[in-house]
Amino acid sequence: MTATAQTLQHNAELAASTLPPLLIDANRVAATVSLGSHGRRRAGPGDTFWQFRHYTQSDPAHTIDWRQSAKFGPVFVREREWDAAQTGALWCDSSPSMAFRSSIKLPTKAERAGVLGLGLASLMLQGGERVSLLGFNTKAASGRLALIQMAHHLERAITEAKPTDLPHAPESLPRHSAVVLISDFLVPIKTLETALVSFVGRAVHGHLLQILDPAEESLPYNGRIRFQGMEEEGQLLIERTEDVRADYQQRLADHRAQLTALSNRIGWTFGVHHTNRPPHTALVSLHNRLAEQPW
Amino acid sequence: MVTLGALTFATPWVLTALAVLPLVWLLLRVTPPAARCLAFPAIRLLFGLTSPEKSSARTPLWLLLLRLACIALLIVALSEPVLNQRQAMQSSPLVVVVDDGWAAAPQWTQRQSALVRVLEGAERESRPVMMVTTAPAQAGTAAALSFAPPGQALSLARAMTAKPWPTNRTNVVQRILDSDLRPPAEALWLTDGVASTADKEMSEFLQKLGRLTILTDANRSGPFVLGPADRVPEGDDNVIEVTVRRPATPIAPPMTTAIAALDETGRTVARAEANFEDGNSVSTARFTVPTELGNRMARLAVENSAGAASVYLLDDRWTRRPVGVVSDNLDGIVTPLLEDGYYVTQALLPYAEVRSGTLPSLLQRDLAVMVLASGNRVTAPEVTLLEPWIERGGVLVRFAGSTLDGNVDSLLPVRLRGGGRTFGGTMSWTEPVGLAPFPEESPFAGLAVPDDVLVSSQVLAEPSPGLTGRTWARLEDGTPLVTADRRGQGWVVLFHVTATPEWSTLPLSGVMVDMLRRVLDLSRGVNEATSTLPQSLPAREVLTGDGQLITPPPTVLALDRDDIGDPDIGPSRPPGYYGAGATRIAVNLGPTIGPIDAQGAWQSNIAVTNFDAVAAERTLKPWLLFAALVLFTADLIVSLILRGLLSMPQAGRVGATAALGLLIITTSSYPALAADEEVDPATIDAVLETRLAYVRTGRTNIDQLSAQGLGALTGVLAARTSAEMAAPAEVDPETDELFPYPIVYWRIAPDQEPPSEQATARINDYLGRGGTIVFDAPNQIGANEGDEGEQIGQALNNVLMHLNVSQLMQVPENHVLRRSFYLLPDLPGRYTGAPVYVERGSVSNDGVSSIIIGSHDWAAAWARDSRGLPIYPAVPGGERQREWSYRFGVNLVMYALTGSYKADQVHLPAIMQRLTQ
Repeated sequence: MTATAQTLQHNAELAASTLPPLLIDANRVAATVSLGSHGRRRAGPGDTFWQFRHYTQSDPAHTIDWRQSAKFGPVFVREREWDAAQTGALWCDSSPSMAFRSSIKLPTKAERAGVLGLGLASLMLQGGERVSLLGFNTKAASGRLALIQMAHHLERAITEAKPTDLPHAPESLPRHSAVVLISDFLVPIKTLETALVSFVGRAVHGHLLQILDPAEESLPYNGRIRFQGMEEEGQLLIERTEDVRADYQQRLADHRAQLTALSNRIGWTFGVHHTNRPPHTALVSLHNRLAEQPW
Repeated sequence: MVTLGALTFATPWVLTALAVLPLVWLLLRVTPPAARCLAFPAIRLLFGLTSPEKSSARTPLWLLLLRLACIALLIVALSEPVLNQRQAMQSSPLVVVVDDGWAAAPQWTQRQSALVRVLEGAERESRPVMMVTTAPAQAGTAAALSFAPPGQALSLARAMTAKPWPTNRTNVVQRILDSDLRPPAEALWLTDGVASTADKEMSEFLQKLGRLTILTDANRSGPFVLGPADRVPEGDDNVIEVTVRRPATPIAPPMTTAIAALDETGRTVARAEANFEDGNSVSTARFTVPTELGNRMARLAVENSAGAASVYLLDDRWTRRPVGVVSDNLDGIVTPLLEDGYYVTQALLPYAEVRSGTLPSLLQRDLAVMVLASGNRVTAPEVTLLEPWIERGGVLVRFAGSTLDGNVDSLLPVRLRGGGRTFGGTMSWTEPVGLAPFPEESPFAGLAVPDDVLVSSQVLAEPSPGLTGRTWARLEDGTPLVTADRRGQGWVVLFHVTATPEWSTLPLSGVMVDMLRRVLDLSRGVNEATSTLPQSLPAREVLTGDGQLITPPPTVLALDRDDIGDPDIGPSRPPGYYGAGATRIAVNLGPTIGPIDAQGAWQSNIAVTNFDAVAAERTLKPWLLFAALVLFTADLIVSLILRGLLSMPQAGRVGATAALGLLIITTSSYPALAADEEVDPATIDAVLETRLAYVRTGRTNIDQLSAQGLGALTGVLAARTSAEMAAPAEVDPETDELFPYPIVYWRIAPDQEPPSEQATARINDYLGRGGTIVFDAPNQIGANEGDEGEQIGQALNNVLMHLNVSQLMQVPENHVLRRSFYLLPDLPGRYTGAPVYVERGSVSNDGVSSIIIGSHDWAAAWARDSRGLPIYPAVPGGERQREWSYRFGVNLVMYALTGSYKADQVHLPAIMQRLTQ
């Protein structure tokens, strides 16, 4: 194939691909989850037909369904299902430390975070909610187009893998929204605490999802290893890694305990997900947790 | 130089470096292996953690040993160890005397490898070398002796070959004295084991230089010398005796040597054995072969013994007995059974080269036997031509005839009576007469006399005193049937009957063949008389030292005619074939070699060893270096794995690549194959699938019609037959290849240009190789307006004029074209009724006509549009005629694809019937 043909094909594929690969993954995951969840089953302002009921005096005249009334005698009013939109705010960490995987068979943590974030967004958008992506200066939006935009944003951020700070609650964030932060949270607990304080005053329901590579959990290395930080933390030479494994695991557990304590203190929930586990389980628990929240 | 058992080290001081190995051990032991680098996100959690034991990271023991072995191998390799080195005088110059004459050829490879080993040893020790070859050098390459660096001598030795001429040791001493040699020097003599008068002087001289070592073959059974050979006539068979000699020693054991007779292509024709008695050095091998096999023999060779002296070349004197049959037929067409010379030619063909032509033209070349089969008289000018030829040894065989009445010329063995004799005719009481047994003194003696030979007419010899001696065969009543007379060295032989069965049944009988063969044996070889040869005979092919024939190098001189018997074989005249044109004289080395004696015992102070002892010498440096390289590569890969820069599967790949790389380093690479010739993609397409084709005329409507017609026909073929073809192709003979297509349809346009020269050649080539072209030239009234029909006819003529078309005929009733698939009463297209022509009995293509010419506009009948509807009406028959035209199309393609297969099928019942009987 000649060079021009290749370029042409590439361009054509670009033009045809409205769905970024990340979004395709997310949609696939979300599709398996949405079967079990339902919207609010009551009448209210909305587009979908809900029920016919007898006319009462308080009803405005234009709500009368004349066709139905003519068919059966009594005057009927057409009611629609209530679809009041809520706002969800998502944040997926795309800092360099998230671009880690211990084996080429596993996705990087950032990729998994993206899939989970978008899958959640997809579920929420299907439920008619408005979703915004924190850290991108975007407004909360609904509809399929918003999902595609989010996917593009996330994908670019994951490829660039620039160091990013933890998000702060934007001014536009409505009260009682749901906030989901997905990261490895391998930061000093103080830093995280300062970041979360801004959300606390907004009366939002929050959830922290920690994504970890299995190697970070178990430190499966042996021998003389020079460890290199991924966010300019410096480097460290350990003569026998197997000797420090237990200590490391203890420290990780302590860190996680601190995270749990922090989230409990501010009324948020905390969960852990490993990249060697299928994403569906994490998404289902995340979704259920959000659905339990009183909106 | 230090010797350790069989090992010798050329630079032993390097071995002291082995002392540093323990130091390296310590160093490697102390230095920990480099840490592997790992990027890790959770490094914050690791800070401050330390392992309790600091010094536990160590190079593993096996890796340590691997590295030490690598270094040790390197050190040992650099000390240049040699296995089984020959003890030599140190640092003195080396004089190497090499016998490279014919006697050295049988064991040349061993000799050469021993020489190379010796010189490699000299190269290691940097000793200057003087190489002396005892056989005279190729003319023009002789140079004064001098010392050379061993590397130069080594390249000379590798290119050295045995010479196909004898050695000359007499001037070796003088040549060495003339050189820049200053004693002391060590001398080596690679002798061929054949004694010469100068041996004693030479060995003493070489011994006086310093020290002499003589290298000989350990277990030699040669060299064998073949020749001379001789032909001994013995009954029907040819017996060839060849002398085989070996070096004479008092202790020579009895042995048997096989001699093979090979033909021109090197195949063994016959095999004979020569038995040497105990202590005897001369033996004889006897080949007993029929004449026809004997005539194929081109050379004799001692089996399993290469060398110019072990080959005896046979030339035309051995093999060729050309027979000329005089024929007055100048046009070259032979009428079997009726031609005068036919029976004689048939009888002689298996045994001799038979030429035919007029008498003067035959005599221009060498002849052993000439046959005058016509029975005509020989004219005076012919007599003057023939007489000297017979004097030189030619055999003239004449037959009688109606014109051979009385003594018409001088070339008759006996005086003849006027008027012949006839038995058993309608006006005669006598019966035809048979043959009497052949006389004892006749060359035909011993041949069985068949009783079916009857002579009804003959010419009669006049009784004379010498008649009995000249008679070779008689009739039962005693009248001579074959008479002969010796003239000079040749013979004149007369058969008193015709060469055809007109007068007798002799020409039909097997005894005639035997008689002619006996006459043939009488004749001498064509080149026996050297006086007829040109004075100077240039070399045709010469033998190499190992007995192969090659084109002579320019330094070879021509052979003088007078020297044939005793050629002076040497660099300027190697053995081989000499002569130009029809002359081919074999010059053999064997017969020129005088008595050969084996070298006796040497003086006691001369060291004698054999080639094998020298060849066992082996330099170990390259092998050790290679082993070190392998270990080093392994160490490299292992280190990369340990540092985490290489995962296990990657390591496997790298290891394989490294092994491959090492293999490439150690073996020679082959040159890449040249890229294939560019082939037109259209041709490739055409070849990949069978398809019909039509010739582009340049007229859009005609080309479209052809395309539609053939397209529809392809569909019909696929539906009705097993010929499933691809879409038809358009070809232009000017540019495209035709060969991929089984059949090409050519609808002639009114303004058809005759094909160019190139296209004509291509079309003729296509037709000649079995292609079929259908010319369609619709010129019916009403088919085209005005005189277009006439134009088409003219255009067809223009095209056909350039092509190789044999005689044409109308398609006969039983032609294969009419029944190759359907049975067709006529061959309609859009029109019908006009004749269709094919080639008459074409021989070249198995009887398949390569050209079919018609004017029915078949393509128009076949053509269908995109909806599958016919485009043109078929007249006058309508749709029924169109169906017939499709059937003709199917037949046409079947004819092109299967050829005359259907015609053969017609005879199947007869064949089956014959097979079952």
